[in-house]
Amino acid sequence: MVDALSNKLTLMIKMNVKDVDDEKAEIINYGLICFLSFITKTIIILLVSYLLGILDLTVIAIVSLGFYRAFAGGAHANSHMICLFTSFIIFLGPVYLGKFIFSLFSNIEILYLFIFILNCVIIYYYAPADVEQKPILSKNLRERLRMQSAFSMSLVIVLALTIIKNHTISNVLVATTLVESITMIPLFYKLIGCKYGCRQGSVPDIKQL
Amino acid sequence: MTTINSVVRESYIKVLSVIGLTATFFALISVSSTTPWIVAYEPKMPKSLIKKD
Repeated sequence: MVDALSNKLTLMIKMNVKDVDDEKAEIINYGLICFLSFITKTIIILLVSYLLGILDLTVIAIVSLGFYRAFAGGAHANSHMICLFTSFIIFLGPVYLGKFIFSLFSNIEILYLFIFILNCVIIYYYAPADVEQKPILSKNLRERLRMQSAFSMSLVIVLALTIIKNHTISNVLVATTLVESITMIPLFYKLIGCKYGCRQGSVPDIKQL
Repeated sequence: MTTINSVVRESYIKVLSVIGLTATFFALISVSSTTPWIVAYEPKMPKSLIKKD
């Protein structure tokens, strides 16, 4: 439905607005699909989390995960339905993980330290984790995104350890970094049928994309 | 009647232009990061937006 609506809107723009050639229409269509997909899934997730009584924690998880994911990347689904299903796991998972599982640990700082080290290892090997549909070919951009991934992940964990006084919120924040890092590893890519766009030493030819 | 029609058509084109500009903006900011779309499915990126050193 999102694809059909985007295609229809793009066609209307191309037919009625001056100076919109095929290349510009392709960019507009891409932007529309991204935007509409983002809006519809966010509304559905927020609605479900409201019904489950975890809206506030879900909003925190979305902001935290989105901040880290914008730089680190991670697997993306190939269809809207798989994406919606995966999004539920990615966003509601950290809420339940932080609320019920992390709270069982008596020495939470040790757990945070373990997650921080694990995140660093995953960032070192896999960030920025791009996808086949949108490869990151620029070496400079890849290097910059890797540094930004490490910084954003560290910032979230430092915030959880220092400024945030609510233990549940701190746990959810740290859980989001763990879940986001997991979305970068090859096993997760395999699970949702996604392929890396470009990994070290395997830069594809731009003409073949 | 013709005037009303032309006003409606002009507004229609303006709305489409704004949608087009917004969509282009979203497509372009998508290039600067890995994925700004926190929950989105990833469509195939236009070749003209792919950066290379």
